[in-house]
Amino acid sequence: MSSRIDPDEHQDRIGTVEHHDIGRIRRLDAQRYARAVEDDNSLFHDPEYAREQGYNDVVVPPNYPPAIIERDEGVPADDLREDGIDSEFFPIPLPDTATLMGGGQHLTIDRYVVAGERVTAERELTDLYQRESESMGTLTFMSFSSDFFADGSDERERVLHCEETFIVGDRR
Amino acid sequence: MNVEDVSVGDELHLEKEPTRAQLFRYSAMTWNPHRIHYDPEYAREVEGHPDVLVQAQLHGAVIQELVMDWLGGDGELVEIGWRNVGRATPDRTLRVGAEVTTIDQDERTVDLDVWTETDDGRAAEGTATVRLSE
Repeated sequence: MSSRIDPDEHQDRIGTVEHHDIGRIRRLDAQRYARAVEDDNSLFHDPEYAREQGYNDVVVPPNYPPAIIERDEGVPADDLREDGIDSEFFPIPLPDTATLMGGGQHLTIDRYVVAGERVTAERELTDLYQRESESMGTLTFMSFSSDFFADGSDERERVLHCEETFIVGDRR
Repeated sequence: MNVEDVSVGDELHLEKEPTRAQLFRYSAMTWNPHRIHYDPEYAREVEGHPDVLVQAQLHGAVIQELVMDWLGGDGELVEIGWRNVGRATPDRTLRVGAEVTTIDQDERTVDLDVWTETDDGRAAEGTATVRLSE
């Protein structure tokens, strides 16, 4: 349960940085992500339209890379928690019966990524704290800060910054 | 559209109705194995949700859709942020909204409040900033 997490025990994990190689984002990936959103924006689907707007290929929907939950291959299915979450996904262990919710994201977009670029990311745990909720009991908040880089040109360039929070609660 | 065409108070609206197939595709594309998005029995009986839930990031994606559709080729999205403050379930209307709050003529930037909501209230709320082309 979230209430079994003692933030003080894990303060040494704050500042932990993980590196992820998301890989080259194909045109089809950008198109499929947009289709999964049911977003028909031609920038994401039509390379000719995207070129007319000054991009080299279709634009990758900006929130696609930071929306990827598992940025690596993930653990074998047998090692997933009961709730489906990768037991190694977070830098601190979660109690077996803890529940998890996305708390939101804030993206600063330096430039759009276009199809064909290779994207890497660095994610840092920046804060871990608890708050009491009248309806949900003790909630544990994990804050992360991520930088995303693309190497479509010769130099690795930051293209996006993401601040995000995950909320761990107790089963009700 | 240029910055002179935008006024504080301008509103944008979009209606979505996420389906279970859409949630499945979204989880697949984002390599999201969280069971509350595909197993209604688990979502209800173990975690106490009314059904499977629309993913937190999908709320941001539909806000992004609304704002970028409005922009067309006339500028770029430079910031978007939202907090997930409620739940949304599939096969129900999810309204997406935005309202212009600030315009900086010199920087050609426009700030908007953004949100998603169901009949039960707000599911996500936040802000976005766009920069219009010269």
